[in-house]
Amino acid sequence: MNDIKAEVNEIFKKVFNDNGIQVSDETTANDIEGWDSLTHMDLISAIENHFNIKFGLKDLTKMNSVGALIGIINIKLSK
Amino acid sequence: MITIRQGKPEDSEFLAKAIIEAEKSGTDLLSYAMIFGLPEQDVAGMLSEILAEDIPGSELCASAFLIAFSGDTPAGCVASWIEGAEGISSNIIKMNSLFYFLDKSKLTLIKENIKIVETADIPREPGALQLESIYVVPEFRGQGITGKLIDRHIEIHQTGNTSLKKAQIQLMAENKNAISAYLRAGFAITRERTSEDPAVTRFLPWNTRILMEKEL
Repeated sequence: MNDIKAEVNEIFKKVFNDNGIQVSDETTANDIEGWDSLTHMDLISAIENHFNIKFGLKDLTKMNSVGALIGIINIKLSK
Repeated sequence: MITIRQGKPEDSEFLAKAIIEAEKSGTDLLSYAMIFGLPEQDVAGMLSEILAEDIPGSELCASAFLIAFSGDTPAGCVASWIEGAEGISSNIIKMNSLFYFLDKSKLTLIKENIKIVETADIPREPGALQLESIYVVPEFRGQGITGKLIDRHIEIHQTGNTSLKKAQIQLMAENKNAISAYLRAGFAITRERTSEDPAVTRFLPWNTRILMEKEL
């Protein structure tokens, strides 16, 4: 799980072009400058590509925080 | 006799049509179709599927709607939500759902289209009641249905929420009939934004969006 969080953190750094980003389970779009609908699209796309997974509609609708996102990635990877 | 009830996932087909008609504002231009490069029929299917998931925090949620019925026939509807109440903005909640349906090979183009649309965007205010996708079936217009639906939304949200201070509606500035109706309902125009990008009218019926507010 921690490995996944570290990999997700690297993706955040790239998408938001900010090497200082440190995400936690509680991090939401309100906590990161520039996290809007456009960067959100980039983020989801980058995560799908990195982990070679495809989120379903129900997965996407639960992604309200980094913790929720990591939880869904974990479930996808364990299948 | 008009009755009003909360929307349910099984109303999604009607609600998708209502969102589309409200977006078109009496024109033939559907912004969802133009931005995402989808035919209107596919947009209707996409919206219907998202509405049925009933995800709170934006207009793409069946239970966010109040629907007016004449007998068993839906006559009109209005959606509402408190912006930011789910912890994130309605725009991101919507994008979470819409992403699933997007053609991923067109993401760059879709992003460019969204950037153009955002040149006429008025950010939604956290904590304010948002009224959206306001639509009345043509044969039921002129009966005060919109006013009744808006009043009921405000009443519901004010119950147990004393901190709610204002209701807001965003619409295109040329939508004169709707503006008159909202002025009569106690709303005032508080902000206007005109896009300087001529390309915006490829995606929106007009280039000026206004914000109307009612103090509660």
